[in-house]
Amino acid sequence: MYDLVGHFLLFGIIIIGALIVPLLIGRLVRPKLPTPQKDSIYECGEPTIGTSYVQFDLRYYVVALVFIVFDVEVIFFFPWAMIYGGAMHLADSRITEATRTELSAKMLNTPVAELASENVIGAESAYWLGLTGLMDVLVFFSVLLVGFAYVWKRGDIDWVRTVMKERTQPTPHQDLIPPTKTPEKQTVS
Amino acid sequence: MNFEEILNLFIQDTADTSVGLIRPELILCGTILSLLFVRLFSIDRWITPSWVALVGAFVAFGFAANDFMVLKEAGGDTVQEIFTGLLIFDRFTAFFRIFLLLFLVLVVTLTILSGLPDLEDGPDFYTLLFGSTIGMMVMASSNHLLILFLGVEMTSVPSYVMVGFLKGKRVSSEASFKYVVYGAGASGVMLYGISLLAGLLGTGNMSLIAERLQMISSSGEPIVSGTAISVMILMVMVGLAFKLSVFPFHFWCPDAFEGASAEVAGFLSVASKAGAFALLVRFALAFSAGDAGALQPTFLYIGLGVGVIAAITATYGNLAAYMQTNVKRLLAYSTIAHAGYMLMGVASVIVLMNAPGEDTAAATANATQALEGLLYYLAVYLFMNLGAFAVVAFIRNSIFSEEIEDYAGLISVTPILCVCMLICMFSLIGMPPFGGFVGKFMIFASLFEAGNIHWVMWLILVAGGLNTVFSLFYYLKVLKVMFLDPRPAGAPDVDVRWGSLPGFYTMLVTAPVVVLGVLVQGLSSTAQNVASVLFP
Amino acid sequence: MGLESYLLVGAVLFVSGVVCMATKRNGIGLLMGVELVLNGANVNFVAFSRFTSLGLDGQIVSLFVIVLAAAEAAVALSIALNFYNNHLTIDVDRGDELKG
Repeated sequence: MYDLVGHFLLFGIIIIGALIVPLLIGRLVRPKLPTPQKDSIYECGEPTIGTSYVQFDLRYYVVALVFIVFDVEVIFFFPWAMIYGGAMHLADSRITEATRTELSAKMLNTPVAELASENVIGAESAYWLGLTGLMDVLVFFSVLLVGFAYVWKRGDIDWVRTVMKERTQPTPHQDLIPPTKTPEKQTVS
Repeated sequence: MNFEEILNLFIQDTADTSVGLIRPELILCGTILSLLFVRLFSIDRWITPSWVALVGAFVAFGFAANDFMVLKEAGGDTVQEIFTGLLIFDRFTAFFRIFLLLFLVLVVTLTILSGLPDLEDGPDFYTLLFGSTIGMMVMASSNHLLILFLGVEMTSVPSYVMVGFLKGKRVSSEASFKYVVYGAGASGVMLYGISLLAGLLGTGNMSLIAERLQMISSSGEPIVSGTAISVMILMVMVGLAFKLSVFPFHFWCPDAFEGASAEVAGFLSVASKAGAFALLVRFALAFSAGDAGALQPTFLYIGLGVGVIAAITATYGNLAAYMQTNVKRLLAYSTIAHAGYMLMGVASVIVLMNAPGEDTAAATANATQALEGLLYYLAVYLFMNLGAFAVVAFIRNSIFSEEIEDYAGLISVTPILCVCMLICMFSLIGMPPFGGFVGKFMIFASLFEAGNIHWVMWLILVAGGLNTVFSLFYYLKVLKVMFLDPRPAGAPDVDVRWGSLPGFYTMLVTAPVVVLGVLVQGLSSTAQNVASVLFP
Repeated sequence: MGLESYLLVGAVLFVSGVVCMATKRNGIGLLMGVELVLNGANVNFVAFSRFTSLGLDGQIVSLFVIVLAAAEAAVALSIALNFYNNHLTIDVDRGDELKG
């Protein structure tokens, strides 16, 4: 119990330190050249004072869309991380039999007392379990990375959208999309 | 069995068996990645994405065909549950893979010929197309409620984008917006139904559903009535009905087809229907397989309900098609009507399987025949509908219009496209020398058989027959404009001749419609062979 | 707390979502309704995985559903953006060029 409290205390102290130290260093080092823009409150580039019913810059929207897709994929890492941590711990052949039983019980989701002795996970099978999981996650993650690289290459996450370099080849069949019957005039709602 | 054995079994099963059996899907995934790489490393200056896509689709088709041949030669009813029972691999799976991949090859060829995605958008378009196809293949092989949902979503999400692919076109964006809103709603309702069903049965595995249901119905738990189960099943069917554009979930279909390009509309009208029918059949049989016991009347009535909805769908589609002035919209309503006809086949499968009485052998034989009719119809439908949409796409490329009135007198400028359109439309009506007739005849025959079990099926048969007559007129309206009306002076020319590639492609797609109408035996015995695997 | 309480929460979420989908005219509002429905199903899945023999399957399904919901939302929002660019509104009733 004290062990846990101690860990939390240590963790808290380090967090507070990690916050204070950079702020302090910044305060000591930076030059003081205030301008009205610098003095205003930072809100990601939007005006901070005024009605909140404003239309945000559409460019946030695109970045947010890309973020949603890649952010949520992390969810597949949580179950994997749970298993992988346990498996790698079990794969260590030096741990004691009691620890092994305890970890196996945790992994198989059964109480320690009910765990049959043949169900205690051996070092080698734990290693294979971890390795299989790692491979799966690596494949999954690399596919994600290809998608990310594609988005990047297309310039969809650039803040200032660069006009795509004009290709040297003429794009064929550009004229094939039939013209719409409706006028392209946009009605304001 | 201890943990180590389970782990070894799992790794061995996955690496040795399961991965080998999803080669076509893996190749499609690989093609998607290589499409992205082609753009990433700017290789697309030398190889256009469409050729990468075509090669990928072709290789996948080759593997799928090989798998099917191996299964067919092996004989017997090989049914393998792969990936710990998430997917199922049997002749039915293999048949739908071939079907979908053949269709993918044809659609990719069509997009190359009609030049739908330009060089800039090529990788995006084909990524979506392939992703959607993988979803359909997953649907056809699903054996778990999770995979059912994943398959439907994997199919839907890329198709939403494909419908809105024509950037800067107002109707296209409107179509995809409507499609995504309806689609997301339907899949939400379906997921809720799945959650209740999985919780009630205590498993998501579809091959265990019948067994568990029997257990529940025989134990006589008070909370689970036949009504509750039908509500759950109906919720799941909402999602599938949406994919099939079945009344009253058809609203998206005409809008999406009109807003999308003809190629995408053709893809959605055939492939997503095929995947959804495969899934519907698997889902329906998961309940009907074995002795349903006390729930048998419930399932019988569900089957009748599906049949009635099918009749309404066909009638609605055919009647609404009259008022249309846009060819794609007309074909969309025709798609709805055809979904109705095919759903009649599913209804008779369900009804025949749940026939009261002890004669299971006869019930199975009848249901196999009904399913055979459905498969035949789907196969013909692939060619006739794709043919019609291909003609629309090629004509659009020349006259920039999809209005029926602008088709006036096309016979004088492009006889080849007009004749192909004639064949496809006659087949869609169900005229005797063409494939559509055979498919429709098989389905109507199964409806007649099902009528022996409940008279409502005979009414549905009558509705189907009347619908065939209704549909005659609006198809003929288009053909009349194309063949008999004079070409107005100054109307743009359509330069698709006999020898040109588009002309050849259209003939290639239309030829099977004629062949399947004359040489019935080959495909029907294959279809029967495929259908029989679902009825052990 | 038994299974019923969780199912009740799921059902309330589901019904709120369906009502939201049926009454909202704003496209984003509709999508919020969809999210509510999906999360109602998710609550069901997790509850079933705790109380019935569904076991871990339920939890896995809910993970997949979360990811799919995000993917669907991303696609739907980008389509809504496309619609807005063309029509300057996200009111679904304004999309009235396709009918018949």
